[in-house]
Amino acid sequence: MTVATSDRAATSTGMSTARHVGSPAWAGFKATITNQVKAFYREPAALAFTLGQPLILLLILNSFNFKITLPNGETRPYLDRLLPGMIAFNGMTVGLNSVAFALSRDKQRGVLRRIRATPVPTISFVGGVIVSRLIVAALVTLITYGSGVYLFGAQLEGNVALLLGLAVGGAAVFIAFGILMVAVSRSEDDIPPMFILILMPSLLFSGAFLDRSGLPDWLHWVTGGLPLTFLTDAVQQVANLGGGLGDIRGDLLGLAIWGAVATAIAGWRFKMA
Amino acid sequence: MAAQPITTSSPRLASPGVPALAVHGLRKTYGTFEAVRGIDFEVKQGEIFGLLGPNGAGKTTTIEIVIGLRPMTAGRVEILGHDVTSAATQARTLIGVQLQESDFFEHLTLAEQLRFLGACYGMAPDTDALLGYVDLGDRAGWKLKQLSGGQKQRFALAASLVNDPPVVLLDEPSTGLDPTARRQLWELIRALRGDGRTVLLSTHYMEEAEVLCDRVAIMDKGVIAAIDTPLELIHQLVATGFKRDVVVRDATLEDVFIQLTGHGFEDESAAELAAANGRHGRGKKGATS
Ligand SMILES: Nc1ncnc2c1ncn2[C@@H]1O[C@H](COP(=O)(O)OP(=O)(O)OP(=O)(O)O)[C@@H](O)[C@H]1O
Ligand SMILES: [Mg+2]
Repeated sequence: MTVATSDRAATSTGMSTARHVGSPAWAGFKATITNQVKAFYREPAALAFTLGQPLILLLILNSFNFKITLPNGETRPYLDRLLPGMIAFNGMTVGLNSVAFALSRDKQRGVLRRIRATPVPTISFVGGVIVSRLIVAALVTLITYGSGVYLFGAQLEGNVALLLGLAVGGAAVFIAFGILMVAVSRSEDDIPPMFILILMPSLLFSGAFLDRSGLPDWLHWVTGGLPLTFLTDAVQQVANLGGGLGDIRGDLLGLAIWGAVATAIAGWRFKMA
Repeated sequence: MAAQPITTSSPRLASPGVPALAVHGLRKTYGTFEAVRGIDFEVKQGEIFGLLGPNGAGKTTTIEIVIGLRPMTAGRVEILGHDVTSAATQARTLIGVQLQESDFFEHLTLAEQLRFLGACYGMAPDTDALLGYVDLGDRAGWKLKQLSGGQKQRFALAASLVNDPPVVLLDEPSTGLDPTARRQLWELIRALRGDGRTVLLSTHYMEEAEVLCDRVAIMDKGVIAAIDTPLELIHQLVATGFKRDVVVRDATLEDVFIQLTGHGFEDESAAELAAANGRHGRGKKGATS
């Protein structure tokens, strides 16, 4: 029988295929960050959703031309209250959205299995994913802040660095939630319902878009514990009232508790394969 | 860990006595179902070892236990003397793997995929050499979704070498390949042996096992029915008085196929035509270059 052979010598590949560059933990961590940031800007949908959504929301919501009264009695255009809410909300969507959906898809398709077959520790890979999303969160925050203030003319008080820190820290809490969702989901299909479950009450009751003061007492109390309520309140305290770290201690504590709980369960349950 | 010179190209026979892979009393149960029922075998350094068996025999289960993707129920598995349970990281460092069910990132180019996977081993792979080895040298900038099924298989083979491994595990590497491409894959696998690497592969193709593998284990329902060289197994069967009840012809349909379509990987458009006439009507292929 004829056996088609290529013209390559079958004796050896004649190649040294790789050289050492460091530990799998560190090299894998760095490569994951690069890879995930690339994933973000090469995916038009993710890019449009994460970067475009804040701009579109600003455009739409800013067309409601009414005034609101700040907790300190000042009357301001709605935009001034909306912008801090959006900065908080973005932290949530970057955290939840870009982690939970992408990671569960890669898990389902077996990408994570393939990585699991290498000596890279799970924590290096997940750590790389987290850092990449924190970078995205910082970017989105700066874009939202910049366009809100310089394009739409919002007037914010407070320290921009503190705002940025809050948004990125808040994103970290929601990234933990995103990983938790992947950890407890049986398949990709479980993610959207979980996402909606967190999104809906946050959208309605966190104070990011709608004022919380009109809520009935019990609902006000219950939804006061939502992670986005803490984050929104903190950002508004700083951005609207010029508050400092001391004014948002309670919010930070609430966020820290949510973050710790989510991280603990995610760390315990998350599996690459 | 014993100094395995995994960074050079022909290092492998470091401690010649040690088997590349040793599996002892391996058992695996899924719930109450016993998928692997106490198997023993050793793969010598530098050989191509075939794991044969029908669907559900336990081949993938065995391979994934070796790589540490599934926990074993009982038994001991060692890669070049490293226990895959207690020294999982060292063992993984020594293994290159092509899994039956896995995938790669969709947004990365082929070269980027290899670099990323390599980094997961703490290594910087020579992506040009790797892609050149599987005849994808001109597609370094392509995305995975632009490749045909057979090209993807070849890419997966290249990806199994990002850590320059002394031991390579290939789970059904030739599934989905046309007969010509399969023969070319054999050449690639022989070249791995030529480097001094050890190859364990699973397959459903008996001809492949016969011409490619130095030794084979035939697995069925979680047990190993026989281990030997292909020739010895055939001799044993013939010695029992067995005779094939088919007319011996001078050629087979496979020979016809190869005569009509046989050409190198290089001729991709003709290969696609062959593939289209054959079975794998994979998704559409991008036209980037
Ligand atoms: N995760 C799992 N849960 C339960 N049963 C499983 C699981 N994985 C495999 N099995 C069972 O174990 C047996 C062996 O499966 P395995 O995938 O190892 O077979 P295989 O020899 O690789 O088959 P194939 O040639 O089809 O790839 C099968 O009966 C299968 O149903
Ligand atoms: Mg299998």
